[in-house]
Amino acid sequence: MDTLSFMAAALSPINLMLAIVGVAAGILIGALPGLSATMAVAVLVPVTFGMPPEAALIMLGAIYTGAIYGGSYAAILVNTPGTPSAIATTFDGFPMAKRGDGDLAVTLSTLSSMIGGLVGAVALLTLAPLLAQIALKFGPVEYFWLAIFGLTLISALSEGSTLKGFIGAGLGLLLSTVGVSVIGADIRYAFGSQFLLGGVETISALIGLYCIPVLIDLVATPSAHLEPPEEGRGIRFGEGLSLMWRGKFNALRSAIIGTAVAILPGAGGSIASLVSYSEARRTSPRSDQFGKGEPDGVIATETANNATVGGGFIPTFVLGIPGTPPDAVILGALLVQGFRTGPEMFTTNVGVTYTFIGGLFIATLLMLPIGLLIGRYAFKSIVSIPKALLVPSIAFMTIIGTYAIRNNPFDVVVMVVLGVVGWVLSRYGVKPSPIVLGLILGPIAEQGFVQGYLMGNASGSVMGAFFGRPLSLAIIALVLLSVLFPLWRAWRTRSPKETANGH
Amino acid sequence: MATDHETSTLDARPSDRVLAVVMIVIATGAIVFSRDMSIMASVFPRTIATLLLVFSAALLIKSFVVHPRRARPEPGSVGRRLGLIAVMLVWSFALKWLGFLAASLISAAALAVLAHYHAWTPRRVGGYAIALAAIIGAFYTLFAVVLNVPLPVGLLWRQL
Repeated sequence: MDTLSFMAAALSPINLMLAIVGVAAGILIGALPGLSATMAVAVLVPVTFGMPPEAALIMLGAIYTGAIYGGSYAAILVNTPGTPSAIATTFDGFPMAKRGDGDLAVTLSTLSSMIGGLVGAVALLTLAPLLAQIALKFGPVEYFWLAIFGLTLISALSEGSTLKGFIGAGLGLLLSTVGVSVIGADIRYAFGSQFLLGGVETISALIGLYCIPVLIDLVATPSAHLEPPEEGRGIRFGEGLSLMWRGKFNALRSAIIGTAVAILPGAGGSIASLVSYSEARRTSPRSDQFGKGEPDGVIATETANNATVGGGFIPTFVLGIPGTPPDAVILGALLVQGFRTGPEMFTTNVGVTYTFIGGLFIATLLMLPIGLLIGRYAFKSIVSIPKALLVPSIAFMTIIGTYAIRNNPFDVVVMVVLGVVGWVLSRYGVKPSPIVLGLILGPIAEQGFVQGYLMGNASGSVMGAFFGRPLSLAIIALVLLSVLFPLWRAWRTRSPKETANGH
Repeated sequence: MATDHETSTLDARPSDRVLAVVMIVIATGAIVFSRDMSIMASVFPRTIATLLLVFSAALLIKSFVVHPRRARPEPGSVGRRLGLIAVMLVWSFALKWLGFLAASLISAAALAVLAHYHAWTPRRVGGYAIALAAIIGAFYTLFAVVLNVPLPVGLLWRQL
């Protein structure tokens, strides 16, 4: 009963207003390429310092959830993930927009984000203490295997040639090693340049790799960027609902994956959405349509990345270990408000915690009307803007978004150069997704690998360190399943054809 | 007579060989430049570079053994594509010297010319100029004033 009354406190007029403002601000910031959810939360944290703790947390949670969802607009409409967690949304969202279904993709993204957000919030409410204990058992070796599991997704992302997918990932992994090494602090591949010491900034790289090729091809022809929508069909809410119903198991599985990945400290929305996309593709009867505008692809990624919001708060509140990067910023805000994370959040400060969780539910529900309203105008305006305005506007947003990440003009140069390299490589059959995956997973894999190697050396058995723990073995089993299942399915679909040809 | 399959795709052997050779050079370079690093810092990039070397060599061999085909690239103006690349590169380098606002206004105008395929009328020029100035002005204000991002003002203007 106490829990319910604390949660009902989130319904006060001031808290509701803060949730509305937070969601709208989060959606708008998240929709701008280069401005991640982390940045949205970080930029607006000072605004909350003067507020009561419940109100401050509700507003930050609303900004976070809105920004993760807002990232899908740019992913769907201009093939540029507004936030890193929307990378996988580009795979099917943009092809849908290209054929005139951008309105449906935005509606699906809104519905999926709401469902994912609600599942994450329910998990935060019910499973927090139990799941946080399991996450504590993850050591460096488990993180290494988790990164390897992420890399096996390349076979699902390489669109045609798996070999070229692995080459792209190798290039991404090598790029992730530029700068000061994660262990040992050696300077690697900087070639005397002080700018390269800081390494290749991931968000700048992914803006370049995804956005610059789109701009290059946009100016090449006079034809329209996206197919215009048919008149008078609105936001296609009914169609979206029926597709959601068809993909209900996909949505539920993706929400669970998103929540589970977010509980692992540091993993975040980008890995959650990639893993759930791969799983959706693996299990779908229409797996050959993935990458060509399959609605289930958008449902999987958008459900998963919004589920990371609630899931990520579990280790943040219970252990004080941020589940995702924006959680780290919110953790800082909690400390400023005078809160100590840990079991106290569910004992002494239980009122604030449950009011916040109530606020998270409200913000997630508010995302539906606010998102549909903003999304409708976003699609219509992107379709009707002439190319002579669209190209310089997107180019300007990529430049200013990249610069603002570290206030570094060199990041802008790296973004443009990587974009051009990505465009050339794409013509040679190497798609940007494996490169980005390598860049994101590189530091996680390297840290886990080197720490595991050191631990193995100290204990006298390197093999034992990597293959001797039950959790590691469980992830290795997933890696093998991820690699062998597509091969087995390809063999199974080929066999009947060969038999038929043979007769 | 060419089949549909042959006209919609291209022979991928030459491009695969170029890609493989470039990647072999990059991987070899990564291994060579890792010699001065400590073991802890070099073990990961060396492993990755070796794997990249193996995959690239496999692609090279594959291009001699089988006849892979690739999708025909999207058609369009090469000049305008190269123009966009040039403008973006100049824009990124000019930020420091011309400042964010001047570099962005000039580059955005150049991109608008590159992306426009119809006749320019005074009304269209005026309309587009106002719209672009408003978009750039609004985002500049958002970042520089509201979000407090220190956008470069330009070394050139400081010297004048």
